[in-house]
Amino acid sequence: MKSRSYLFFIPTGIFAVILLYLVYWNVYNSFTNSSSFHTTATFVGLATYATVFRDPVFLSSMRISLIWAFSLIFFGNLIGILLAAFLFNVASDKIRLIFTTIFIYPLAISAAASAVIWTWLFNTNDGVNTILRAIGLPPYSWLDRPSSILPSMILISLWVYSGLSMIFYLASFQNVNRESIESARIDGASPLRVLVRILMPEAKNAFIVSTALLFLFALRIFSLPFVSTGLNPFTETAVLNMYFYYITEFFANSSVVSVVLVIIASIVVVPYALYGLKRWITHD
Amino acid sequence: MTRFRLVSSITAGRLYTIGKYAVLVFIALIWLLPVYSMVINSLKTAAGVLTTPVLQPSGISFHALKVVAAAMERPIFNSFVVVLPVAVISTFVGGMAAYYLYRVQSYFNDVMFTVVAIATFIPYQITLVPLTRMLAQMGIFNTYQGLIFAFLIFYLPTGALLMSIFLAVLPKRTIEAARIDGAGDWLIYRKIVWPLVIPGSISTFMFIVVESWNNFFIPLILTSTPQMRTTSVAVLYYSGGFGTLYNESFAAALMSSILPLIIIVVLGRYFIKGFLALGTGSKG
Repeated sequence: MKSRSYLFFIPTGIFAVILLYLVYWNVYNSFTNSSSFHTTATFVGLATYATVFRDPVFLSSMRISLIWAFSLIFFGNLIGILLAAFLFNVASDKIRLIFTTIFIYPLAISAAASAVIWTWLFNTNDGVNTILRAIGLPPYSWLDRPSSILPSMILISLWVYSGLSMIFYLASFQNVNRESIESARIDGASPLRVLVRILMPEAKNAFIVSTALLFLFALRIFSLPFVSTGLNPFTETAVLNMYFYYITEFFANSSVVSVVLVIIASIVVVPYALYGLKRWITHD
Repeated sequence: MTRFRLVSSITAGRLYTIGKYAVLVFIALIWLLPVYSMVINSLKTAAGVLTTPVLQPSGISFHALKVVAAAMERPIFNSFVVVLPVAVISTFVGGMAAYYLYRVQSYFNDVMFTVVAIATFIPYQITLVPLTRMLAQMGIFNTYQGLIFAFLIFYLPTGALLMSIFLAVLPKRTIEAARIDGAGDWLIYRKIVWPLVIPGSISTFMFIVVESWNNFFIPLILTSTPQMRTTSVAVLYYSGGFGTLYNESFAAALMSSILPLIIIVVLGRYFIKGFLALGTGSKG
């Protein structure tokens, strides 16, 4: 009886193997010179890697992707903690759920739609600048100046992902022993002190999880810059995912970028799966 | 003296409460700007677009929505045709895989579990070239079957991962008891496991509906005719540029977001639980 349980895994297993095959295809091709111009690919060892790693466009895409990822991790965690701390102090469950929904809804909207909306909101004449002008602040060139495009895009991604960080912190704050918080309050500790001294030390897991997920989601960013600023390798928002969209004629080069991305993602996913996810599943 | 201190601490507390909500409401308003602008701007006339900035409402006209609806009808239909089977299969068949991983623990399963996690979190853009080729060779490029197949490569493992997390809290004893009574895996899965894991499967289903509905990259690369475009890709053609009237951009964004927005308002709790499970297990 028991021996036939594996039948249950087969469909999912097949699709997982297809995915491994797609990754394998990239690994294999990254060692060749395969491209639309070399119909019969030959094995070239690490030559394609050398070419790609010397390509200034690859290097700039890599730089942009990493800046984006680390900004998202840093500010996403910060905003997440801030929002979670505020929501933790909301007494009514109903009001808390309303605010949680407001901060999480950007995750449910397609990045393509968000890009369309924010491109208009960041329009120099028509968008949020009209509010800034109305309250006497100088307008900002959100998407019009090369140096401000990437920060503006990062802001949009913070609007999307900060809520994710927030729910993890909120969940861990809610697991903290109520009594220790109450007694600290009675002793006159300020809300900030409660946050720093009592809540944050218990939020280590939330920090790890939110950092890992923000990093992985950052590596996937494509639609936002693609829809908003178009496909141009020389813009300030050309992330890695876009890089191999415009070198697809050069299959080997695109495979090298894929392998690099898989390695970067796996460094986070594998320990996360084995030490995080696995633990919640096996303990009973 | 004590009375004075009591009064002042009450006022301080009240001020703190007011300040807390003021900050929360202020941030919430910023978070809601895109929804607000989607609603007011998709209701503008062409004249309204030319005379008012993006954040200022002007009248109510359904013209832009009607025009965009006519163009979006087919993409929305396509999205349903692809998303519903993907979400149903990913939840139910992924749940079967989860049941297997729950029942049998071995090193091989740890490996499979890691593969499932990688498939869930990998930057799927890396499969661009091999996936396109594979679908072309199978003769399902630019078809519904092709899109469903491609989505399943990523979302079936996602379903298995989420269902594993939700299954972890089921009492092992109940299942062992049924097994001793001679029930087979299929019977146990349908009659015992499934009813117990309904809330988790709703979360998984909603999560995959929203994620696959919003997926932009996969339908972008795997469809080649306007007839086959899904909703998220169709929005791209309203992304603006010179001469575009923004009421149509916002109307398109609104139409692509309406289903996810309804889900998050009505079933937000389940959607949040899906994300939360990825970070804290099913108890969080």
